[in-house]
Amino acid sequence: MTSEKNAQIGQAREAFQLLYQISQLLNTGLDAETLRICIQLCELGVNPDTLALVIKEIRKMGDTSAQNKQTNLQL
Amino acid sequence: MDNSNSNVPGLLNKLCERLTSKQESVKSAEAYELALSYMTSINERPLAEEKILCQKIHSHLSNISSKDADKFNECFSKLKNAFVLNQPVAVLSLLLALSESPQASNSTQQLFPLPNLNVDSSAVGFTGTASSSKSTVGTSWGLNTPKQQASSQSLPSNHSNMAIMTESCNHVNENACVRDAVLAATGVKPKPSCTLSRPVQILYSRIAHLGFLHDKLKEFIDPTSVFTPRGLMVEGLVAAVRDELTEYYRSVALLQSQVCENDCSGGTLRRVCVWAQDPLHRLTWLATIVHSVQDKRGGALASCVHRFVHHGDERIAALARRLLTALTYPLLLMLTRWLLHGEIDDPYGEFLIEKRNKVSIDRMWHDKYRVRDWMIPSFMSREQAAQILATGKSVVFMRKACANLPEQGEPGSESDHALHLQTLLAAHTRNGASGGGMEEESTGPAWWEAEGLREGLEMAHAVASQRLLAALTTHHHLLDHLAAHRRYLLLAQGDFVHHLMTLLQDELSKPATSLYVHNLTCTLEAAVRATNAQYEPPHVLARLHVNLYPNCDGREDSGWDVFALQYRVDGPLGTLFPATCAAQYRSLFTQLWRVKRIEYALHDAWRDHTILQKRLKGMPEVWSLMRRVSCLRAEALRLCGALQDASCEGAEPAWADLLAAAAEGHHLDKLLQLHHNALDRHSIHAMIHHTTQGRARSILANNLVPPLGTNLCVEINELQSYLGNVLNETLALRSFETTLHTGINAELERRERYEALKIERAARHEYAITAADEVQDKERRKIFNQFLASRKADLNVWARTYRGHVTTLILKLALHTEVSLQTLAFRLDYSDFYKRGDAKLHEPLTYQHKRLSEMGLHLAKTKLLDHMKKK
Repeated sequence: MTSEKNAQIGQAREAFQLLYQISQLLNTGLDAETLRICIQLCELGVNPDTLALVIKEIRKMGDTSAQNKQTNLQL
Repeated sequence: MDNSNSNVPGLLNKLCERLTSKQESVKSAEAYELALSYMTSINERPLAEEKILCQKIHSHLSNISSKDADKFNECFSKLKNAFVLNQPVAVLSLLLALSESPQASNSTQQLFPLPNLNVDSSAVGFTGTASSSKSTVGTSWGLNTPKQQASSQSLPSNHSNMAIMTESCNHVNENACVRDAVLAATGVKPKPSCTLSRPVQILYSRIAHLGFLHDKLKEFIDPTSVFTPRGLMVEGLVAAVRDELTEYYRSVALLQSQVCENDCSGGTLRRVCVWAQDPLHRLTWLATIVHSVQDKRGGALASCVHRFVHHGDERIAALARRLLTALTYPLLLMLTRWLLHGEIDDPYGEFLIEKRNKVSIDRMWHDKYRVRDWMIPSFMSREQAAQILATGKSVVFMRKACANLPEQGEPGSESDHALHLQTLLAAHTRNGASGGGMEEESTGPAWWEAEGLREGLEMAHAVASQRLLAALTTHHHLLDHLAAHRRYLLLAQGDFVHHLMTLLQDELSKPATSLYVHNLTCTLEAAVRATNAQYEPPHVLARLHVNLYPNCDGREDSGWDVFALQYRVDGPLGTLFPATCAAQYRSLFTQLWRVKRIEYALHDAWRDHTILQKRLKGMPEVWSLMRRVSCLRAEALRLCGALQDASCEGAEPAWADLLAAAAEGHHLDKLLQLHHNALDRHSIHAMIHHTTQGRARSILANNLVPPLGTNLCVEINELQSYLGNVLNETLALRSFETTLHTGINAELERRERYEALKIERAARHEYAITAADEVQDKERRKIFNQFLASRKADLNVWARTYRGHVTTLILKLALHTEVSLQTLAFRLDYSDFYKRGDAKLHEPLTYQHKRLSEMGLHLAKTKLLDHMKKK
């Protein structure tokens, strides 16, 4: 039983490594932890397109606010 | 796994925290709110199929590098075997959506759209919902970058009810039809499988039109077809068209595989039809271009395709540009070869420079090579073609004619010339390296539209002509020879000419048949030794010769008529001065020499006259006549002087231009043109008409003379005959004076004898005169008086004819279109002497008359033209 579980975990790890590789090939900019969360979300049936949109929006938010801050500092 | 990890909101929260942890400015709560709102607001959409997704990722990666794409394939195949993930597709599509495309890479651009018949419903659905804000979607979604939208357009799905209905109705029917249509697109004629409904037929025929266009192109590139005239540039075009067709085949093959693969899922005729739009457009224009270049070769072909480069549609312009680059490649090779080595390798007669094999190498500069006007491609100007011609000619000239120059071995000179062609050569090697028709767009502008072409040509031309000119002036003394031409053939070296005239005076009065060139050559050498001409460099003196040109019409010529100086230019320079040029110099020399001789003769007459004058104290009856003769002689002398001045002064600025241009180092063609110009000015002012055909042609070619040229020639011809009349009359004055002087001399001697006899008789203390003597003396005096009377009458007649001729000449000069000749008319009659004598001359010098006469001239010209048209 434990050996089966171990094998499963090993497989999962391998699959994750592969996905991480693809993610890097595609230059998504996700780190391992974030990717793990994303994969879990997808496994739970969240629409990937929407998720991607969300991530992009949040990144953009960060960018714009950082810019705002910079301009504020300059002012 | 703890609880927060298993549900969606918990995971989302965690995600937000992670994402915002790097950016202090954004609070994770805000992000979480945003995420939730997105999650709830956007409708769930079905996921894309695994295969399509895979293809997308693959194409995306292969855009960047093929290595990445291979890596992905490897990972993906492993992942497929893992079976751990429940939703691999979802994860992949997430990754793809998040992937950031690097800076738009345009290394490969597909000529034809890749067919994609499968319904990419997720993408389509999304574009459907967000079609109003397409641009923002395009930027936020990595997949739909504008570039990709342009190249591989995704096909619209047939979500409308109408389409579904038709699809379901004749599904089986249509599948066969689609297969047929795809076959038809490659020109295969399938058997009509079954009866089709009308709309389907229309769609079908639209796709099948591709087949028709394909067949046309196929016919063009078929090497056995007899329609197209072969040539290297045509072959270039054929190769380019073949490339295009290969691309087209690739596209069709993909389409076919997809049609065959999924029989039921969506390979409808409509989608094929949509796919066919782009190939249709491209093939149509290819066929148009190919049709328009029929029966054209070489430069004309290039010009024809070049027209399409200016087409407003960017796609067509790009297509034409690609074709043109491919087909001008042989031209570029020919061009570089000609510019660098002066060789023409043109088996099909397509190059813009033509070598005329019949012309011998002596006439190499002027006639051996020429520009084929109709072969100049439209992206080159005529001036550029002339430059290309001159550059190559210079190279040939340096090699053929100046082969023995020591400078030839200098290493820097040749490469210097090539240096300026670098841009051309760079384009050439680049195109050679890239080879295929695909990549050329990305390597910048092709050689024929590059800025460097014009500059490179200009610089290469400048360098080549500088080298040539330097070689000609330093080693072949071009300028010395030009100056010598002017000094000796145009009588600018006064002391030499005068001395030669004195020495030749007696010799040339003999009939032409008793003259020998070697005697005259001795006289010439004597004249050279005695004057400043002896300081000329030996290479000039060695070329100065005497020649006799006997007339062919069997007249009894005196030596004056046949004598001429000759300046022989040979070697490399000989090719620069064509025979027509020598002929022009000869006619100029003859004319100037004649005027000079008449002037000399009149001066001679004056000397006789002055000697005689002292003995005429006892002969008052001849005084009036002598005085009148001397007045007329002065008049004639002045006219001669004015004519000589005019013929030299008129050409003075042209010679000055020539020397200035030579000092500034202008190119050879320019110098030669200025030389011709100077000669022409001389001819006009000496009122010489030259009818040599080659000369007239070269004048027309150089555009030296406006369309009025032929008219001018006719008028000059007229003037020449009037001038001839005047000169003949002046010579008649000289012979008249000779007879007068002999008559007077004889009478003087008789009288002296008579006086002496009287003195002698007186000394012998005889009667000084007898009656018989007195009678005889009276008789003699009577005869002499009669002689004088008849001479006086002769002189009156002569004066009348002479003045008549001069008046006509002045009148013609005043009415001449050439302004400098009008001023010459004024100079010949500046004191209004002839004008007072002749009423005819009153009018022409006024403005009103000139205007009227110009109108008359214009009328006459139009009449002449009408007449010619009628003929």
